[in-house]
Amino acid sequence: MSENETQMTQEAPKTQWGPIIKDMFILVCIMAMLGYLCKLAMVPFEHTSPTDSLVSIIRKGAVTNGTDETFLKEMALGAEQVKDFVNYADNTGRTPLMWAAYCNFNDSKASLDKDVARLYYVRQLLATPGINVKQTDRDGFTALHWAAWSGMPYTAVLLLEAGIDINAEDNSGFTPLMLAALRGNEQVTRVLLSLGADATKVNKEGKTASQLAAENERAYSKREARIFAWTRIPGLADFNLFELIFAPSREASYQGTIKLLTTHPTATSIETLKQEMVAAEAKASAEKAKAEETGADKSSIEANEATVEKAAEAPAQSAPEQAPSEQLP
Amino acid sequence: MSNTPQKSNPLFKYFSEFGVLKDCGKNFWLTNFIQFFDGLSYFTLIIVFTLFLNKYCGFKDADAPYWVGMYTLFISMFVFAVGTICDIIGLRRTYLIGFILLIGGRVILGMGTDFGTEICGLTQESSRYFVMAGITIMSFGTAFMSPCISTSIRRFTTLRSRPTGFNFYYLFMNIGALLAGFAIVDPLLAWQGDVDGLLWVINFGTCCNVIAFIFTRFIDDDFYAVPEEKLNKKETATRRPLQLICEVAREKAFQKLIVFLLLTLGVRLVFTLQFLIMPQYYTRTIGDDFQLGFMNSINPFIIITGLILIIPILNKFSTVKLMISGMSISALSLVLMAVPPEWYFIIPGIETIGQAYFVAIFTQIVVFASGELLFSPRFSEYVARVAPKDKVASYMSLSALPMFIAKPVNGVVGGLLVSYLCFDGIAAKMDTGHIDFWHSPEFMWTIYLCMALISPIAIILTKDSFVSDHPEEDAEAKDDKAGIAEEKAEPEAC
Repeated sequence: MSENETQMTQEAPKTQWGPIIKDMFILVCIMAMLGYLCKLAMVPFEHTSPTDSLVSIIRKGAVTNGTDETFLKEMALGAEQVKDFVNYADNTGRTPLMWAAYCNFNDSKASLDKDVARLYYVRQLLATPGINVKQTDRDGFTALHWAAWSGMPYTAVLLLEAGIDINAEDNSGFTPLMLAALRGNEQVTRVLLSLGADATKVNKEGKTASQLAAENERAYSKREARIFAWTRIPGLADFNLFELIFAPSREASYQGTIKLLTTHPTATSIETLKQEMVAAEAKASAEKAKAEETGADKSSIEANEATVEKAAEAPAQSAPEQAPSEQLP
Repeated sequence: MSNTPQKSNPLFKYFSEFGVLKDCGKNFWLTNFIQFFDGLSYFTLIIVFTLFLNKYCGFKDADAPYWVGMYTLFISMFVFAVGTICDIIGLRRTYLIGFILLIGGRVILGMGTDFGTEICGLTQESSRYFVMAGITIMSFGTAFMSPCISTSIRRFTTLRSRPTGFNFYYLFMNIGALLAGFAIVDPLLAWQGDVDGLLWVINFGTCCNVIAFIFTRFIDDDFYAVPEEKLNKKETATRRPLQLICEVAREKAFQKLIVFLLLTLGVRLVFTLQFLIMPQYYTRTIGDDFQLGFMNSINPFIIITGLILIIPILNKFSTVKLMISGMSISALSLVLMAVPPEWYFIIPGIETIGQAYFVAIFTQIVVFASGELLFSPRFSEYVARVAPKDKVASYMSLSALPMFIAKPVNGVVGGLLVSYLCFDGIAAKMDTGHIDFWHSPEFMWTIYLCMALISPIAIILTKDSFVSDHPEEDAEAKDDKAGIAEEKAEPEAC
C-alpha cells in the first residue's frame, strides 16, 4: 500500500452500516406491505379460472418433438381437480378449445403459422373425452367462429370434423363464414365454402358474407393514399403509415375472399383438407428444423422433407379435380 | 463570423454546447456508454414487459400490470435506499453489485418459467414464483444504476462542463429509448414471433447489461474531475436514507410541495400507462403483429427533437403556465382514445375499426409526448426551485414519495381495467357489435381521462395557494417570516 493510500484509509470516516441496513429493511417492509395490500384489494375483483394456466400454455405454444409435456401435465391436473375441466368457461365464456382457435394478426401468413403451431393443442383438446365442441361463449361464438375470425383454416377443418355446426349463428347473427369474410380470411372462406357453408345467410343487420367482405376490401384499398407522397423522396414517398399495421397481404386476401364468395369453390371432403393440413404441418416442422440447424441432424431434416413431399402428393391423388390455386398453402 | 445564420440555428447552438465536453476524460465517456447500454436494456424491457409476463410467463391480465407496477415501485424504493451506498463503497463496487443483481435477476426472469416447468417439473403457476423473484432481484439491480450513473457523471465532469455533461447524458438516454423501439423490439418480434420474440427481447437486454458491465471495469474509481469534491463526499457518506425524510418532513416548503405533487399525481400516473397497459391495448385492438416498438419510439423522438429545437424557446415562458399547459395537453390526449372508434369514420380513408384505432393511438402518442415535453422538464425544475438551496437533492429524491403509493395502485387498477374492458379477443367482439361503450376500452380511457384531468383543474384552482412562478422567493420570504415569528413566539412560550 502506498503512503497516500494509507493516509486515505486513515482519513475515511468509519461507515456505520447498521443504521443504513435498518433503514433499508424498514423501506423494504413498507414496500412489501404496500404491494401485499394492493394485491389483497385486487382479489375480489379479479377473474380467475381453473383453465388460466392451460390457456396460457396454449397461447405460448411450446411443442417440442411433437409434444408439450407441460400442457399434458396441466390437463391431467385440471381433470383431477375440476369437474368437466375441458369445457370450463372463463369470465368471457370461452373454453380452452376456443382459446386454441384464436389468434389476432393482421398478416394472414402469421395467422397460418400460428394455426399450424396450435394444431397439436386442438387435436389434444378434441381427443379429450367429454369435450363439447358446440359450446358457445357469452356472445354466442363457437370455436369455429373464433377460428374463422382469426384466419385458422386447419383448426376449422378439425373442428368441422369433430361435428361443429358450420352455419352456427352468434347473438348478432354472424356465421363463421361471415367472420372469415369480414376479416378477409381467404383460406378459411375456402374451407367453409368447400364444406358447404351457406353464403346466402344474413346477419341481424341484413348483410351477407359477400357484402361484409366487399365493405372491408373497400376500406383497405382506400388507405392507398401515401402520406409523404408530396416529398417525392424515393422510399419516403412510398411510405404508408397504415402499412405498419395492415399487412399488404391482407388486401390481396380480401380480393381472393370476394372472388371465392362469388364463384364458390368446388366441394371438397374433409379428408382432402386434412391431408393438406398434414402437409403444411410437415412443411412447417421441416422449415423449423432447417432454421434451427443446430442440434437437428441432416437425416431428420431429410426425413421431414420426405414427409412434406409425401403429404403434398396425397391430396393431389385423392382430389384430382381441384385446381392448384384453390389448395391451402 | 459570429453572426452567421449557422450560429442562430438552434440545432447548431445545441450541439456546439457539447464542445466543452472535450474537457472530460475517458471515465465520462465510459459512463455514457454504460448508460447507453443499460438504457437500451431497460427500455427494451419496459416496452414488452407486460406482454412478456402475460404471454410468455402466463401471468393473468390483472397480474401482469400489477407486477410491472411493483417493479417500478421496487426501483423507486431501492433507489432511495441505495443512494447512500454508492457514496460509501465506491463506484466500481456499486456497479459490480448492481450489475450482478441486474444480470442475475434478468436471467431468472427470462429462464424462470421454462426452468420451472421443464427442468423442475413444476406447474406453470408454481414456476411463476421464479419470475417474481427475478423481478425483485432485477429491480434491486436497476435501482443501483440511476444514482451510480448520476454520481459518475457528476464526478467525471468539471464545474464548467457539468450542465452540458448532464444534457448529453439525457440526450444519449433518449437516443437509447428511441432505438430500443423500432430498431430492436420490432425486428426481434418480427423475427422470432409474438411470443418467443418477447424472450429474445429480454435476453437482448441481458446481453446489453453484460456489455455495460464490462465497460464499468475500466472506470477509474479514484478519479475526480474536481479534486475538492473528494473531501465533500466524505461528509455526506454516512447519511441514512430515512434521515432525509425526518429532516425535511417538518419544513413548510416541503409540505406545500407534497400537496403540489399529490395534485399532479393524476396526470403523472398517465405517464406510467405507456408501459403498464398500452402494450396490451395496442395488441388487442389492432393485432399481435402491431409495430409496438415503432409506436414507443415516437415519444423519445419527440422528446429529442423538442430538447434541441423547442426547449430553448420555451424557456422564455412562465414555469407554472407551461406546467399547466403540458398537463392539460397530456391529459386531453386521452380524449383521442376515449371517443368511440366509429367517430373516426368521418375522416376520409378510415372505414374499419382497426384503422380508427391506429389513427387514435398514433395521434394520442404525438399529442401526449408534446404535453410531456412541456411538463416534465418544468416539473423537475419547479421541484428543484421550491427546495432550499442546500436541500435540492433531498427534495428531488423525496418528490418521488407520492408516486411510491401511486405506482402499485395504478398497476392494480390498470390490470383490472384491462381484464374487464380490454380482454384478449375484444377485437372480434367489436367487429361483430357485441361491445357497447360501457364494456369497451374507450370506457377505460374515459376513466383515465377523468383521473388525468383532475390535475390541471386542481392546479388551476389552487394556483394561488400551492403554486407560484417564483417558489424560491416565496420559500425564502416565508422562511424569514417563520424565523421572525418563531423568534417572537419563543420568549412567549418560555
